[in-house]
Amino acid sequence: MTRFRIGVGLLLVLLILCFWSQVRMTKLQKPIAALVLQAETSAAGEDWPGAAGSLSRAREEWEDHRTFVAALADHQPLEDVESLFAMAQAYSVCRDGTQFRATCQELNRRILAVMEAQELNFGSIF
Amino acid sequence: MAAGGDMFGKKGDNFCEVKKLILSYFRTLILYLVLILVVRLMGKRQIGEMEPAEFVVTMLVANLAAIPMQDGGIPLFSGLIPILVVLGMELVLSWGTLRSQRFRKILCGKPVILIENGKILQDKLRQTRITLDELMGHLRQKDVLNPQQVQYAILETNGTLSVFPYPEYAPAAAKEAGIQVKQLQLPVTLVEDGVLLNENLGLSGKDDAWVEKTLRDRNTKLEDTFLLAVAGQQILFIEKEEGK
Repeated sequence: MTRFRIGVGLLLVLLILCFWSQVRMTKLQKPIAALVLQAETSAAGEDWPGAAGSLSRAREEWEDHRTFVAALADHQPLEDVESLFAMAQAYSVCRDGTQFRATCQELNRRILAVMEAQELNFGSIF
Repeated sequence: MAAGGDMFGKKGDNFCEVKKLILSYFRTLILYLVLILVVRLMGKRQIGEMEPAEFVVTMLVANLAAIPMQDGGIPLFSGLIPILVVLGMELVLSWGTLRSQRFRKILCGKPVILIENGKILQDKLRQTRITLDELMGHLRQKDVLNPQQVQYAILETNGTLSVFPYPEYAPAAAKEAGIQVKQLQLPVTLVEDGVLLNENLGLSGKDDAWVEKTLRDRNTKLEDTFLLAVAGQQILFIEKEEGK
């Protein structure tokens, strides 16, 4: 009976851990993606200080939770996101609207992809 | 900036490679310890002959551990979580096989008689997909050359073949040969590699003084003793070799 309890307990704990990590990942990534979109919108309205500020905040949020995300997600996509952050910041300094907005869109897509990779749905199972 | 390279140039590359090695080192250490714990929790059967489910588990766990060990870009939890899930399933299923005969039959199958009263059951051979060559090979491994000398040969659920020759072809036991033999006594180890095993002293009915006297009679000390064991009146003593 002990083995059964240990086995079932272990499976339950792992399941709860997986669901928790999914929820936590969504909570962390969505605000970051929202800030990136906000930066893009600001750039579209030629509000470069606003765009740089939003992007900077997004990057800070990303750096703050990097360790947690790296414990769950593949590292290559995370490195891609960091490269895109660097590129977007460079474009914001140069005030290159087209490139900045394109980079922000790609950045937003990648951040959401990292989040969605942890989501549970039939598509991701199969 | 260092000469010969910048932060992301040559020297940066070398540092990244060293980091990868260190990462690999610690990941391997962690996964190795986890695997030992997992195999230990699964029980001794994993190490010996395996049922089909146990074989699957062993293969799975080994492969799951190898992936994050080799690829530093994959999170460690990608290997740990599946390994622990496999452990949990194994514990639950092993409990199920203990409790339910029906479940055990589904998971492990049942033994199949391949030879009965000297006759090879060809339909059972076909059912188990064992060829005649394989059957003869198994019999030879059990020192049997003639299947007609076998009363029963049973294919067990773990894939081994149990062979029971007719009594007239089987080696005689001491009782059948009318030979008087001493009763078997399990040896109890008292000293192992220079260390006195206090918990075994009580089992053997001996004490520290006896051990001391026994070693003194052999002109040796505790730290120079490789093995001291007792089995009834018999004493087994091996001295450590010099330099080892």
